[in-house]
Amino acid sequence: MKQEKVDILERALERQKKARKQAELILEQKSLDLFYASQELNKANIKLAELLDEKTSQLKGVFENINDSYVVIDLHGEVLKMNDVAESFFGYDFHSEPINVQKLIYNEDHEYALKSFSQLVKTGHFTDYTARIITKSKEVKWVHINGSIIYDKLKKPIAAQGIIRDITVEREKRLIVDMINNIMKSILGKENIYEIAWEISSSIATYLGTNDCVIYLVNNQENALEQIAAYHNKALPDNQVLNKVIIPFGKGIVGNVAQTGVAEIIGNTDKDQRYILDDERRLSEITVPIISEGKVIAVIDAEHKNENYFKKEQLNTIENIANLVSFKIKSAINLRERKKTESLNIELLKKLEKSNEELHEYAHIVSHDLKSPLRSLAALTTWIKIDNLSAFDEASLQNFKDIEITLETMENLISDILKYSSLDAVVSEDEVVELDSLIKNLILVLYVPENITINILNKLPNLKGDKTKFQQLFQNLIGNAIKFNNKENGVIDIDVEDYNSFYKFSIKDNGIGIQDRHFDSIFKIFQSLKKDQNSSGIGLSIVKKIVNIYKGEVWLESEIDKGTTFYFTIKK
Amino acid sequence: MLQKKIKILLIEDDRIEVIKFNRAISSEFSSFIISLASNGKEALSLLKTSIPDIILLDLNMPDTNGIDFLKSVNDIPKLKHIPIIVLTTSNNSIDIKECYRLGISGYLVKSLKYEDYEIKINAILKYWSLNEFIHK
Repeated sequence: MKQEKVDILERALERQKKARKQAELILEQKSLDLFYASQELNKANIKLAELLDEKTSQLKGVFENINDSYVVIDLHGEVLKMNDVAESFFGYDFHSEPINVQKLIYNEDHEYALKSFSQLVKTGHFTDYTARIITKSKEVKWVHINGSIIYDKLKKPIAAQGIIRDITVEREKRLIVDMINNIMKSILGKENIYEIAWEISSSIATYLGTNDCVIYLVNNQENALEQIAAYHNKALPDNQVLNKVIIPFGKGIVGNVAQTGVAEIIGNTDKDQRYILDDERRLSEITVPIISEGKVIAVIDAEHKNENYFKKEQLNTIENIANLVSFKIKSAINLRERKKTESLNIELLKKLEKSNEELHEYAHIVSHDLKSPLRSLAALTTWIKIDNLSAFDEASLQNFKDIEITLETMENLISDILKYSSLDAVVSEDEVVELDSLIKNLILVLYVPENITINILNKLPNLKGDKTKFQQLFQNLIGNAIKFNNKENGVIDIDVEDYNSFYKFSIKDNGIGIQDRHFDSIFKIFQSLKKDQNSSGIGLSIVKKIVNIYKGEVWLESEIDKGTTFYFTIKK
Repeated sequence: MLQKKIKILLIEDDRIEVIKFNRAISSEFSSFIISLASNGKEALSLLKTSIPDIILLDLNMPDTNGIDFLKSVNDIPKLKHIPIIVLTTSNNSIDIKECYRLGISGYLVKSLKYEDYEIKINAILKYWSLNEFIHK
C-alpha cells in the first residue's frame, strides 16, 4: 500500500475515532441530562403525591376537627356522614344506627324545616336556618345551619351537606340583653305602677317561655302582697288583674320570698307545702324579690306546668332585672302614695268646705233663733208701754228706754257674731276689686260727723279678692276712727305703700288713743275697751280675720289722746 | 169706690209674731180677711179650699219651711200667680237669692223695733191693696 493511502486511511480512522468519541461524549451528556430530568420528574411526582396526601388529610381534618357539626344527608334526610362534633352534639352514632334528621326537628319548627329544605333542593343552598332541634337526650337546642346540595358528574343532586352551629347559649344571652333593653325602654317614660309591672311581667314571661308571670307589690300597712300585674296567655295590658290576689306576708312561696328576700326556684310544687293553688297547678315556680334600700318592695313570680323547668341562669337573669327595675318601681310606688295623699287632701278640703258651709248656715239659724225672742221682747215691752202710757212715771219710761237700748245692743252683737263666723265661708269668687272707688263710695255711705274729715293720701290699688271683705275691713277701721274721736277737728288719713309682694295700708286718726297694754287684746273677740252701745267688741276681730285671709298682718301705733294709726298688709 | 176685702194668708209659727202682725195692721186697715197657718204644710192644705189674694211667708218654720213651701207652690198652677212676700229674720244672701229664684214678690227683714215693723208691713200691704193685679 502506498504510504499516501495509508496516511489517508489513518487520517480517516483518526477522524472516525474522534467523531465517535464526540458522539459518545454527546450521548453521555444527553443520557446524563435525561437521568437528571427523570430524577427531577420523579421528585416532582413524589412532591405532588405528598401534596395530594396533605390536602386530602387536611380536608379530612377540617371536617373532623371543625368546631361545628358537619352532616351529610341524602335527599330523604337519612344521615350519610357526620363528624365527631355532630355525633356528640346530637348524641347519636350514625355508624351503629340509622338516623333521619326529621326525628331531630323540634315539633313546632317542623313546617319551617320542610320549607327550608325544599328551598335548599331548589336553589342548591340555604343560609341562616335558625330553629330548634331535639338531641337524643331530649334536650332542646337552638341551631344555626348553612347548607348546600352535592351533585354528581351529571349535575344531578344526590345529597345535602350542612354546617350546624349550636347557638343555644348565644341566643340565650342575646334574649336576655334584648329583654333587659326592652324592659328598660318600655318603662322609661312610665310612672304608673300598674303599667310598669305589666311591662316587666310580660317581658319576663316571654323570656322564660311561660304564660304565667305575676308581679306582687308589698303593702306594708296590711303586711300583705297585692297582685298588680299578671301576664297570662291572652291577657291585655289594660286588664285589671282578675281575682286580685292578696297574699299575707310569709304565706305561700311568694309570701315567703317577700319575707326572706331570697330568690327561689321550686322544681316541683307538689312537694312544696307552701304552694298556693291559684287558677291551676303548675309544677315549676321561680320567685324573685325586688329589693330597694334593703327592703323587699315587690316580688316577681313565674310558674310553668312542667317539672324542673326553670334554671339557675334564669334566676340570675331575673335577679338582675329586679335590681335594674327596683329604683323605677320604688319611685312609682312613691308617686302612687303621693297621689293617694293628694286625693285624700282634696277630699278633706271638700269636707272642710262643706262643714264651713254648714257652720255658716248654722250661724244663720242660731242668729235667727236668738233674734226672734229679742224681737218679741221688743214688741211686748213696746205694747206694755204704749197701752199704759199714762200709768208710767218718768223713771219707768227711762227703764223702758234702757230695755230698748239693751235689746239693740244684743241684736248688734248677734249680727256681728254672724258676720265674724261668716268670714270663712266662700261666698263669692275672687275678683279684681278697685279699692280706690270702693273706699270713696264707702265713705259717702258711712255716717261721718261734720267735724271729721277723711283723706285718702295716695290712690288705693286694685286688689284681688272678695269685695265685701275689703269693704268690711275698711268699714270697721274707719268706723272706729270716727267713733273714738274726741277732737274738734277730727282728721282721718288713709294711705298705702307699695312693696314687692304686698301693700301696706294705714288708717291714722287723731282720736282718743289706745293704751299700749291693750295692743294685743283688742284684736281678740268680744274685747271692747269702751262700754258703748254701738260697740260689740267684734269689729277688730273681723279686721284681723280678714287680714289673715289675705295673708297679711295687722298692728297699731298709738298715743293716748293724740291718736292711733292702724297698719295692715295685704298680699298681692 | 167700694173695695173688695183683701184675703191675706199669713204663714207664721211664732205666736207673738202673729199678734204683732194683727196689731200692726188693725190700726190702719179693716179691709182684710186674715187666715193663718203655722207652717207650710198647713198652709198648703188651707190653699186647697180657699185661695188668698196675697201670701205673707215666714222662712224659718218647723215641718215644711218657707223655701219648701215656695217649691210646692211652684208646682200648683192655680197658686202660681199669687204674690208672696217673705218675712224673715236673717238676711242670709243664699236664702234670699233662692227665694227670688223660686219667685217671690218681695221680702221684709223683720226689724227689732215694733214701730219699724208697723211702718214696713203697712207700707207693703198698702201697696198690694192698691195694686190692680190682685183685684182682677
